[in-house]
Amino acid sequence: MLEELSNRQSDQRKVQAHKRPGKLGNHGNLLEGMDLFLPKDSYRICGAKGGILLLLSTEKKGNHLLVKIGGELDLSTSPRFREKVEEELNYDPSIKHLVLDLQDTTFIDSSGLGVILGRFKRISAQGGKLLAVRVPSHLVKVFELSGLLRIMEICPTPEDAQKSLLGG
Amino acid sequence: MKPRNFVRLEFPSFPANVGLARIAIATFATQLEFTLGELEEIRVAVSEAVSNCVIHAYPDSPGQVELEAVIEDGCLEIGITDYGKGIDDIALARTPAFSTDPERMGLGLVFMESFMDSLEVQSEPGKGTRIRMRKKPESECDGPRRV
Repeated sequence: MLEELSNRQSDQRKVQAHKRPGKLGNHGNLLEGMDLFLPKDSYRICGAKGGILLLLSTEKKGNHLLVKIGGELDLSTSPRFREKVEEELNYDPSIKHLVLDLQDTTFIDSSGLGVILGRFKRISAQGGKLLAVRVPSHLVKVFELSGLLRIMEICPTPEDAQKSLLGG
Repeated sequence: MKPRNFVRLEFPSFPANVGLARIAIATFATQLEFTLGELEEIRVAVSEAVSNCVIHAYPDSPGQVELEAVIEDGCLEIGITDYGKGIDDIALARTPAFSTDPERMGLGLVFMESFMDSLEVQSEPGKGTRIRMRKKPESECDGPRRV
């Protein structure tokens, strides 16, 4: 399901059906006209099938890709994350590192961790690093138990991540 | 003593139903004095159990998943049953990072075991798997729960 949020100024937005044909056929209009209360930054709704929303936005900053993950990253939504990040990495080979902004991430299980690990494998093969910023306290335990903290640096803010990548 | 309460859900093993399952059970669990952190742990454990049904029990086509939860004597008990492929080697499946898929971490049973007070796995190849997990609010425990 691909819908785009057109108004970047307001917190309350109407969901518009995306002009491109959605991969999910008739479910493409499921959210059309609904009011969504979202963070101020622009998000793209990448998965709402089954009522679980994954909100993704990506932004290239220098030689890293900042990915904001809003909502729940599980078996149902993690393929959307993988597709979106792979699309960005394929489009711009100059992207070396991956920074995940988890401030609005409400849930991650091992399926979500698995797709993060998969992207780490790709960027680390090119010498890239994986960082996470603004990690909510409720996600810390799954990261600790998974061992992902051994390969993923945690920074307080995106600016701190940028400094870390620059060696500051 | 509070009366026994229970809930039972049946659904096909669609990925979209994983979220439904964890939200339903976490909502049911709020009848006990779980902290937000404990409810988060329950959400992860249920999500892992139902995800395993989708991925491993019925890899080729969706099958039936039965989810039950009981509150009795201040304790939450959750049962997840499938009639799929079953597990050949339960001990191996409970090993951290055991996975045949590079995109998966093999942590499903590890998370369930870590986040709940107890975990039982019964499985028979070709017939299915039954997971039973229990958790009691920390506030209602007299002493340390884990040995």
